[in-house]
Amino acid sequence: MEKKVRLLIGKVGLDGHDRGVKIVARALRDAGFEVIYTGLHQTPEAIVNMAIQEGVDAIGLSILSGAHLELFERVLHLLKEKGATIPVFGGGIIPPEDIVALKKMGVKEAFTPGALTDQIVKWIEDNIVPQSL
Amino acid sequence: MPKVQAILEGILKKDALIASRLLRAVDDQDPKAVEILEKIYPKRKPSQVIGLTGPPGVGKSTLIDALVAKEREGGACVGVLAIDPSSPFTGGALLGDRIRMSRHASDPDVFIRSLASRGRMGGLSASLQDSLVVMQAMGYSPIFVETVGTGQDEVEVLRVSHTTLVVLAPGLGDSIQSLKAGIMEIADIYVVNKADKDSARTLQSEIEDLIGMKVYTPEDWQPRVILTSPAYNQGLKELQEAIKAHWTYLNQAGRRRRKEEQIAKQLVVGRLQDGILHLLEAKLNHLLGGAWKDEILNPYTMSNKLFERFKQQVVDET
Repeated sequence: MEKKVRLLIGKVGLDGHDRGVKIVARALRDAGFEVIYTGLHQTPEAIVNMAIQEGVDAIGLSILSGAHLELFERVLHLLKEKGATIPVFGGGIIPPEDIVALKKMGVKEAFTPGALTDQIVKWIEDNIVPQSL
Repeated sequence: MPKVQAILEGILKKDALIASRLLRAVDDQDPKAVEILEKIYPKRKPSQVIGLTGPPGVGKSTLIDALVAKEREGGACVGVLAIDPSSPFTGGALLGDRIRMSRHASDPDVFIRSLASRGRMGGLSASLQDSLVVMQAMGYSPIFVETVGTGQDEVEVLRVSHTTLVVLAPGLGDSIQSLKAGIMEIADIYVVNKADKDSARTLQSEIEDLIGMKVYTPEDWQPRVILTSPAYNQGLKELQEAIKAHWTYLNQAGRRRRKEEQIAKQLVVGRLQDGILHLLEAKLNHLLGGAWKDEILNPYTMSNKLFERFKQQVVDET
C-alpha cells in the first residue's frame, strides 16, 4: 500500500497572476506530492467540485486580488454544504489582520510573499494526513 | 470508516464523496478497496470506454473537453480518467489535464479524475482498470481515458478500452513515422487534431495509405481517419459519430462480449503481475543487496549466477 499526499492547488476569482502558484505547485511536486493544478479563474464552486472528485487531502488557493476574505469564506461554506472535510490553506498578498480573520474562519494556514517553498512543504508534511477508506 | 455496504450503496447512487474516497483507496492499493471492487464489479453498467493516446501536446485533453461537451448536449453522464506522469525521482506529480476541461468543473454529471502513473509503464497507471470499474458501477457512460503523453510504444490503453483513438497532430515527423510498429497499429480511429494547420491533409493521407495497405474483410472494423480542430469546432460531430459507429460495431455478432473478456483477462493478469512482483521485490532486493558487495567482474556472469540463486530460493521452492 502506497499512501501519497494529494493536493489541489489553484487560482480562484478574477486574478491572472499565476507565476507564484506555479512555482509552489512545482515545489510541491518535487517534494513528492501529487498536485492537481486547476489553472486560472476558477469559481469557488468549481474548486470545491474538483477537490471532491479528485479526493484530495487539502486545497491550497493562491489569491492576489484582495478578495481573499470573500473567496475563502465561500469555499469553506461550499465544502461544509457538501459535507466534505478537506483542509484549506492558501497564500497571496494578505494583510496580517486578515490572516487572523481567515484562521478564525477555518483556513488552516496562509503564506505571504517571501515565504520559502520549503516552509510550505514542511507545513504540509506536519499538518496534512493522506485520507483513507 | 464507513461500512462496506454503505460504500457500495454510495457508489451505486453516484455519491461523489464516497466515490472519490474509494478511488483514492484504489489508487493507494489499499487491500480494503479490493473487497469493495469485488462487490461492485457485477453492478457495472455497460458503458463504452474510449481510450485516447498520442504524443504530448497533440491536444488529447482539449479533444476530450470537446467530446464531453458533445455528450452533455445529448444528456449523457460522462466520466474521464486522465493520467499524467509521476516523477521517477521523487514520486511527485503535477496533474494538469483537467485545466483544459475546466468548463465542466461545476457540472455534477461530469466526473473527472486525474491519476498519476506511479511508475507504471505503458501510458496508464496501475489503478486505471480498478478506477474504470468504479466509474462503470457509478453508471458513467461513456468514459474517456487519457493516457500519459506517449511515444511510439505505449499501447496498453488498447487492452483496457472498447474503442482506441490515436490522436496525432501535423508537424511531428515524416511519413516513415507512420510506418513504424507500435502506436500506429492500435487505433480504431485516428484523429488528426489541429487540422486548421496546413500539413494536416498530408498527415491524413499518410495514415490513409497505412490503412490501405492492410486487407480488411467485411467482418473487420476498418479504422477511420477524422480531422478535428476543437478551437474551430471542426470535425467533432464526425468524431463523435465514428466513436458511436465503433460501439455499434462492437455490439454486433458478440464482439463486445469477446472484447470485454479480453479486458477482464487483462485485469486478472495485471493484478497477478502486481501481486507477484510485490512478493518478489523483497526477495530480489535481499539477493541483490548481498550481491553488490561482490565486485562486478562481468555483468553477464553475475546476472547468470544471481538468477540461478534466485531460482533455487524462490521458483523451485514453490
